[in-house]
Amino acid sequence: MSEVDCNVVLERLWVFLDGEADEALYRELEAHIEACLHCRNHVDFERRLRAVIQVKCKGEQAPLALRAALDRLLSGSQ
Amino acid sequence: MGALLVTLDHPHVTVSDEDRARFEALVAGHLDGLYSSALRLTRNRTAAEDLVQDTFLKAWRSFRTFQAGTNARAWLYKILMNAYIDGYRRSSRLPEEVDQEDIGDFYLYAKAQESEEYRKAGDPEEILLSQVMDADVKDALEQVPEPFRAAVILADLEEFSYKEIAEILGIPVGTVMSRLYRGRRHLQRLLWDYARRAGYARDEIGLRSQVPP
Ligand SMILES: [Zn+2]
Repeated sequence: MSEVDCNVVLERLWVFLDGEADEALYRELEAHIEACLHCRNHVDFERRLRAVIQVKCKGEQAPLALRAALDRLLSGSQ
Repeated sequence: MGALLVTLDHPHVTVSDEDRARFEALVAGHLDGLYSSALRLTRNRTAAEDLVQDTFLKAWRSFRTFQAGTNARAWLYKILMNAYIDGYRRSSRLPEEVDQEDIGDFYLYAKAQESEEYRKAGDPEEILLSQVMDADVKDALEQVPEPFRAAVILADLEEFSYKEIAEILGIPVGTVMSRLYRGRRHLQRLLWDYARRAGYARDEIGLRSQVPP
């Protein structure tokens, strides 16, 4: 059983948040985070920050001209 | 711009209606996402529109080599990124980078924690997040230099896995991680300045009372 402390969580936090930790590591990190208020606060902050970034930067609507160009491409090719 | 597509001598002379329908279903569903990413990459609506148009034109041309059942979204983004790198990136030379290694990976959280001002005002993380919400996050993201911005867009907006991003950009997974983390460090640094500005602007128009107690 390896030692997961706050520093290990900090080192592996992107990998954890990105869902890229292998299962054993993920479980160890998760167990520490659940038990540690300090790490839980931090994880919560990074998750909410990412959600804000997504809300603010996604959701552009493709212009109608682009949809029309796609239609033309498909109807123009025999 | 649009006229170009119709007059192009198309290689698909025997394309079936079924191919067309399949292609349309595939691209139409990802058009908004492709356009959002193109806009964050090119920072310009006309260039983004051209880039997406270029993308589905190239996708259509190579549609026959596309295997049903493979990752269609990753395939489209790979074409988008290749077109962007080929034709839209202003310079192929990487910018001289100020290494931000020293600021740590979690600049914003560290700033929230150490800010006396936020602590006095209540919940520091809550206040900072609400200021980020008010800030021009799009502009901040668009200031992140390449090639780091592309990695952040693919991971944090489009939620591709490291492996998918490696495939899309044609680079090793280790390089994906280092670009992504550097891009995020840049973004956090920028967001701190943008959030502070948004905070001051809000204070000035007298909405301070909306900050949670
Ligand atoms: Zn901890």
